[in-house]
Amino acid sequence: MATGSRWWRIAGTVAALAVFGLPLLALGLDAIRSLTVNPALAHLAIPSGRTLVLLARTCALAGATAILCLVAGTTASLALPRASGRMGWLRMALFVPIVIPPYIHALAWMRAAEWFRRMVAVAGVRLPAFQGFGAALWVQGMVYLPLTAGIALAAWSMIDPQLEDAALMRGSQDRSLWRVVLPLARPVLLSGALLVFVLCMGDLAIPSLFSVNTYALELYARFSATGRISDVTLMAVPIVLIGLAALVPAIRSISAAVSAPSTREGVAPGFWRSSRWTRCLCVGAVCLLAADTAGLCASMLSGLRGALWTAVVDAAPSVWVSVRMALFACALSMILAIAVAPLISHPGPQGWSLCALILIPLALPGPVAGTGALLVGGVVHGEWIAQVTPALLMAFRFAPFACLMTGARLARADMDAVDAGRVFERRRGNWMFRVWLPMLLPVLMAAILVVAILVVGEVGGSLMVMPPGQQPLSITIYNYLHYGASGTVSTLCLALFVGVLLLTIPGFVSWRRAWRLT
Amino acid sequence: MIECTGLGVALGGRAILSNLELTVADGERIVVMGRSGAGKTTLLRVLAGLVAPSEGSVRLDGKLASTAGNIRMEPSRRDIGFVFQAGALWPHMTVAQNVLYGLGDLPRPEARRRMTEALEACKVADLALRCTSSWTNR
Ligand SMILES: Nc1ncnc2c1ncn2[C@@H]1O[C@H](COP(=O)(O)OP(=O)(O)OP(=O)(O)O)[C@@H](O)[C@H]1O
Ligand SMILES: [Mg+2]
Repeated sequence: MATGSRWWRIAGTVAALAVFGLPLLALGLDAIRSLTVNPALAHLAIPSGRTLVLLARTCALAGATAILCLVAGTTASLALPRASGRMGWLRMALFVPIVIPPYIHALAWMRAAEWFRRMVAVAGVRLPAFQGFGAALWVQGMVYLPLTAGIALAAWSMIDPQLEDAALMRGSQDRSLWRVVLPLARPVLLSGALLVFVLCMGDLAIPSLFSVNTYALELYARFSATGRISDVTLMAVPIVLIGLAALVPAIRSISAAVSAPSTREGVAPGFWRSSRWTRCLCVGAVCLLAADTAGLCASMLSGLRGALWTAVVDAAPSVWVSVRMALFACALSMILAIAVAPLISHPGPQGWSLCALILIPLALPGPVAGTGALLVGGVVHGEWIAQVTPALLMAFRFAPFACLMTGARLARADMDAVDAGRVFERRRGNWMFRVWLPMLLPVLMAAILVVAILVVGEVGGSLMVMPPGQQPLSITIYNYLHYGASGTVSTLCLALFVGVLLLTIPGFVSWRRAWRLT
Repeated sequence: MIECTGLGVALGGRAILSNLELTVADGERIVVMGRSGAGKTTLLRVLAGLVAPSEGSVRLDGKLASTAGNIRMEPSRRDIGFVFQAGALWPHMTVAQNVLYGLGDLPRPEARRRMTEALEACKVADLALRCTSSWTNR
């Protein structure tokens, strides 16, 4: 087929190399140059003493979060039966927190904890402050719970319903759940947990808010203190290796799950027929999910007093920066996904190396990715490069999701339909616009949603590359959070939330519609 | 003895079967015929207790098994055999485990003996430890 043609291959490879390869190359060359000047720097890449403790703590936090999300997300998804109509929208509402950036969750839970502490203090009980490892773990768990629950729902929809029916014919609901449904969904569920692990490893917003020193924070602090990019690159080596080890098995099955055209009903876990224990557990998990949503709404609304309008007007420039960045990054990701996906859907040796190249940005913590973009930006002279660097950085960090999702969809596509399109086309190239792209439309929409959500919430990389005088909304909020201006924060969060919803709802609706058509 | 009275099934907000009366006596054999999408599989799934009817009831040997919106007797308690349209072998289990799943209520040694017997009767005893689908090996 024509997407396997030489021109396509060349274009896809060049695009991938330009966006993903250049920053990595720049980081690598810079590190090598510093190493030749001072070989002793190599010890930075091998954690020891304090950094080893930090790395261990980061892994522990990320691992514990992943396990919490895996257990709670899976059980919650079991109790969310497939529903259409009004109940369907209610179920969707539980997943709204996916689009809300982590630090806003953090704010909501900090407020809830503070309120709870004051309540208990009235009764004479003094609780410790909501800080430290436990608090960070809890909040990170809540942040990624909707994501893992959503992945679990996707996992159920991939299972052939006949396999569950067959299990039910010969065993109880619980037995079929444990022996058939869960094992069949296991690859996807575990991949979801691994993805959460990697996202937590590179996150710096939540640990910094709860005063947990982690490796990503250390990277940022090191850069702020020394200004030497090569130090950060070398220090990031262990975290990238750990991230890659987790990502490689995870990414394929997740993308397959996200892009799978769900069977009409999938397995609708026959929840109300399972044992009382399973039911209690599931309902508990759903309550957790609902508490997160409710807490977010309550916290945002409770902080709203007076200065609502002024805060929004003041923040208008940063809203514009965010929107511009998101639009540019989404457009770039879509082009990259279309160009690169055919090369990684049935990978040969070249495809596998592209896959590897695409995975590295995902494992790279935000600050390191940011320094890579700075290096590339430093080579090219011109005012404009500083303006586009942030958006390019976002594409570097998040377009891999779009490429992998689209590639996985293409790997499962019915190629006979595409070939038929080519045989019967009346005008040259018609097959591409009438058959191939429409087939990819749902997954492209989903990918754009993912990229937009991630870009709007991103903090770690933007901190490094934003040109002076420009701030995306996420950083404005992040700064206010550290100053403790809670009324303003609430207003801005609400603005951000409404903005993200407005951005994503059209995408989401067209994604659903596109599903129905395929 | 299977009795369906006033049976109606709606799936996804659409009526698939309505007002169906069916009685199958012990030892009687019947064939259900219909064009594709007529609802044959749906009828069998209601009889097996995999879907609840939206109207009417199903009785097995005189006992009430399903009523409107309610499955009173679990599928595994109904003592009904079922051959699925696409085989429905569990790909993550070996052939032996696939057979053993259905014998879960017997003591372990007895279940193993029955499993070996069944595999030998089908002349597939040598495949007992193979997975039923290659995709678990991926
Ligand atoms: N879970 C479901 N939700 C909505 N509609 C469904 C569902 N399952 C089946 N249907 C619809 O019910 C109708 C009957 O389906 P069924 O599978 O019983 O037909 P069938 O007679 O077995 O067809 P075939 O001969 O092709 O196997 C079909 O129109 C199908 O689209
Ligand atoms: Mg059928």
